Amino acid sequence: MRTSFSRRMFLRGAMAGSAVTLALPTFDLLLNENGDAFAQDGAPLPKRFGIFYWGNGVRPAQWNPPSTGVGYTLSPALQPLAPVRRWVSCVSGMNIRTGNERGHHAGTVGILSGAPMIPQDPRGAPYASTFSAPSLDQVIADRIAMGTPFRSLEIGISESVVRGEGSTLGYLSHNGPDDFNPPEYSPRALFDRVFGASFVAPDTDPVIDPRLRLRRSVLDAITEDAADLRRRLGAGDRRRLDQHLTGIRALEERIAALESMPERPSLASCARPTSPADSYGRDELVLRNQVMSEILAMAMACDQTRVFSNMFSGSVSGTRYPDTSGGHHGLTHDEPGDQPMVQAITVFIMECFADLLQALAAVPEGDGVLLDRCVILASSDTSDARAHTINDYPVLVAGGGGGALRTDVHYRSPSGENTSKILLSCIRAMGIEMGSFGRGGGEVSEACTEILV
Amino acid sequence: MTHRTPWLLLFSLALGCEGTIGDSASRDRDPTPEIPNDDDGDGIADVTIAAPATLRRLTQSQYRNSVRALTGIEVPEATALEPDTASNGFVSVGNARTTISARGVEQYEEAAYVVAAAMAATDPGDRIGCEVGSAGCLESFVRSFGRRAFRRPLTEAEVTRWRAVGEDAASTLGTASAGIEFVVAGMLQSPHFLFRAELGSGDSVDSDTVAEGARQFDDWEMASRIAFTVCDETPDDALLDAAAAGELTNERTLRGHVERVVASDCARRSVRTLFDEVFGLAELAHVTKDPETYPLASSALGPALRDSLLDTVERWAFDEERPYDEFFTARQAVLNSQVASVFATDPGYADVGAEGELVETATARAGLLTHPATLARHSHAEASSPTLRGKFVRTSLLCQSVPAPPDDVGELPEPNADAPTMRERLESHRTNPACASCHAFLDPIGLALEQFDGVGVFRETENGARIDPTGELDGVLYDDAAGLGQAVADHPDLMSCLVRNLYRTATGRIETLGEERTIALLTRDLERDRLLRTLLVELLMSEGFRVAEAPTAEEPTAEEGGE
Repeated sequence: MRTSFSRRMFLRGAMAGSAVTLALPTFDLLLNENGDAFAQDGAPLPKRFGIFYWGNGVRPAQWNPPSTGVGYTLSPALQPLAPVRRWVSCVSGMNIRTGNERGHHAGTVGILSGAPMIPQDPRGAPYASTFSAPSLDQVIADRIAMGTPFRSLEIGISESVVRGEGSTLGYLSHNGPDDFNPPEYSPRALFDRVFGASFVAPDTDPVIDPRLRLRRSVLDAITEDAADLRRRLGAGDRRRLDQHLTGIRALEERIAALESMPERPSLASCARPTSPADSYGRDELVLRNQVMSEILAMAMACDQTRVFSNMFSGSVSGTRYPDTSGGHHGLTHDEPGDQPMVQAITVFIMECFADLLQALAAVPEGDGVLLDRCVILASSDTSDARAHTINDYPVLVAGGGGGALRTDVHYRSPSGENTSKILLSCIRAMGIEMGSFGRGGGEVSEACTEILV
Repeated sequence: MTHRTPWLLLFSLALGCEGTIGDSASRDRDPTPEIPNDDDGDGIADVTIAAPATLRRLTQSQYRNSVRALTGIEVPEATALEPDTASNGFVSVGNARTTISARGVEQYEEAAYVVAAAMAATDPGDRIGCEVGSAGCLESFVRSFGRRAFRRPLTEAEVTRWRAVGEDAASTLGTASAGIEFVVAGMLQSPHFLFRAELGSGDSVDSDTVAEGARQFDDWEMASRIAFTVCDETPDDALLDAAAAGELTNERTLRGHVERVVASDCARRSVRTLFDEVFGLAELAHVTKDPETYPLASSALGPALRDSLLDTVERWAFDEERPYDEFFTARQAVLNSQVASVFATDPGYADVGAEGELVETATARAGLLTHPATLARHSHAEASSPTLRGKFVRTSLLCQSVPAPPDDVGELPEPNADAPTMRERLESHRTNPACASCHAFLDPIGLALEQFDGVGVFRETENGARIDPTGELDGVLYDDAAGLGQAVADHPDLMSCLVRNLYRTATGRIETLGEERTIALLTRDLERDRLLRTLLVELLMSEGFRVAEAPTAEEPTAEEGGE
């Protein structure tokens, strides 16, 4: 499905010895009489949801497309998306309505959860904040992750993350306040986690290893330990312990799946990819993103997960990009004039977003490709980083949504509508019925229908 | 698109052009407000109001140190663990708020089996204590290992539970050592090990100086608090035996144990961790200085500078018994090759030391503010930053708060004939009333450090003009960095801020108003000899450290659905 090879794709080809190569099996699609895609066991193919997120916003003048509607003209910042534009819609002119109490923090929490942030600086202590509500990926995982080995997968690309200001700047995916899902930064570790010893390939025999049952009985004993402890805790600590127990149950279920032939849809494109390299040297950001995107794509093709997030760079990240003279965040405030370096960084990030979409479009599935059944939200922690604005927010929605998303359209809100409407659109495109979404100023009951079919 | 232009760095130079800040010094920002319930007017609150205790997740270093202490096996460095989350500047504060993710559960499981297999196979420290497979060995191991791992004796139900796990493993796999392996692996994943449940489970506090409703931490909880606070690891047998004998809730016997632990070598860890976090040095591992601006820049630079500063602090605190105020005036540093390369161009620096030695620094370099780790950390990738350095001193060393920068900070003039150095370029920020409230508060501190560039190399000129390093800190005028160091050393907030920082990392939260009595008393204790060891001992003896609000274990609500 990959129609063009970018310069950087070629570069990776030249280094193919150290990169992932996906061994796709013979194209073996199954269609029912209506031409709908089904897995081999006849179950409908699942929809998937993802978030692509970067820090430090955009240059709005170079981000917003100059025309609206279907087949809109790509702006300078969006040019890298040209090869995948048939899957990409842009929504502009909408505002975050949860307040802007603290630059970057408020935008992060607002766009990812539709809810206000919680400040955590008692008595003027050094600043920190956290989320007040789950991020969108977890809201959706609650409804669609059932039975998949991984409720969701989180990856991060740039490790230049602000680590002293609480969970908001440190992590994308949140289950609630101070409760987050840390991303994996190492392609090898991601591979080992999903496709390592615990991976159950389609049509394989159950593993006979007595240690598996023993590991589960250890987890049972731990769960009993936790029940003793739980009785002594107040409500807040109890929630923290319960979240830990949720992770223990997930691990137990995965171990159990190894012992019995799992009832997973047998998917034509699923295959264990080859193991990636440990690091990628000079083009680390580009290659790490490509390789991890391909592992994620295969994880979804194998129905190991249906939800992912990619924190390409964190909020306020000081990532050093190639050919720039300072960290990203510093440049957004300090580069004078039209900020050509900041703009070049945005283009670079969009190239990487395009790589993610290409990886999803490269996996055949049913009558199309994996990306046809994805809903992907892409956004940042602010609009214009220089002024910490949260109006006219930069948002892209990509993927076919299994036919639920209207693609290749630019909708520009004439009235500064609430960005939570876009999040509700994603929820509905996933086939989830939800009357309203968001909290406080972020609560909406109407979706952004312009991007829905 | 590579530009080498000098316009950068406005952002952090342009902090805080908003907020209401009085012209006079720091009062408005000082987190110490009017003192509550001080009837006798001695400036110290009459009572402590205990704060609630929370479950605390082990930090990565506490986990690694404890596993080593328990098993004699090192967790492999490459083994990834649930990340620490720093909040309000401290990992211990973040880890008292956060939990263990699904990914963390997997990581702890993997690490536990690696360690457990190695211990069961080799038992390097002879910790099993009986012949594996002999009658009663498994149960006695469950009891002894369990007491150290859970930091208290096991209940009979727990002994039964874990013995059953071990017996099952031994019979299923056909070797007695598998029993040991699965017990170790299991206990290392238990919430009783991964979380510190110091909840205030002791007796009600009956004291004139503690408000009603407070509970003591019990002996086992105290053993855990002392060991993790001082040694960053699980309590040893001596502390647990003291707990069993009830000696850690008795003020008289407690002091002896506290002094023993603080005198032990592991106490160095807590001081290193404290300064690492207060100075923000972990970031040096990721900071990449621009090699075109700084020829010394390399990936080895940041970590080596960090090591040198922490080695210096450790030497001062434990080997030299140097008072804390002298940390800002002493002309010494522990040498390593990277630090030596920064010092090499200091005027009058005599390079006579060997790696690892505490050496004399040049006259211009006095105290930790002029240590290259501090200077490089509180700078940009390609320039120094008077504002970042000033903010560091205000917030981290003096515990004063600085408001967030305004949303659009404007631009700093490029260097020109009238404004060749940062001092002139920043002038507008100190004279424009909108910016001056913060910049007049921050910049004069950092301008005194301008003779040190973004990696800490000494310089006398910038853009051909002489750098003027004079300044003022809360009414004290100085001529240069050494004078600034003296002004910080003499600053009335210096000692109380060290107390606050240590208290925050020790308790895992920001001190409440009700704990100001403890902060004030500890400050008074510290001011007596200004020694970190004294502070550590008195911290562990203090009311605030030993009492908690009575725990409120509520019944599960309907919403939670009792599980």
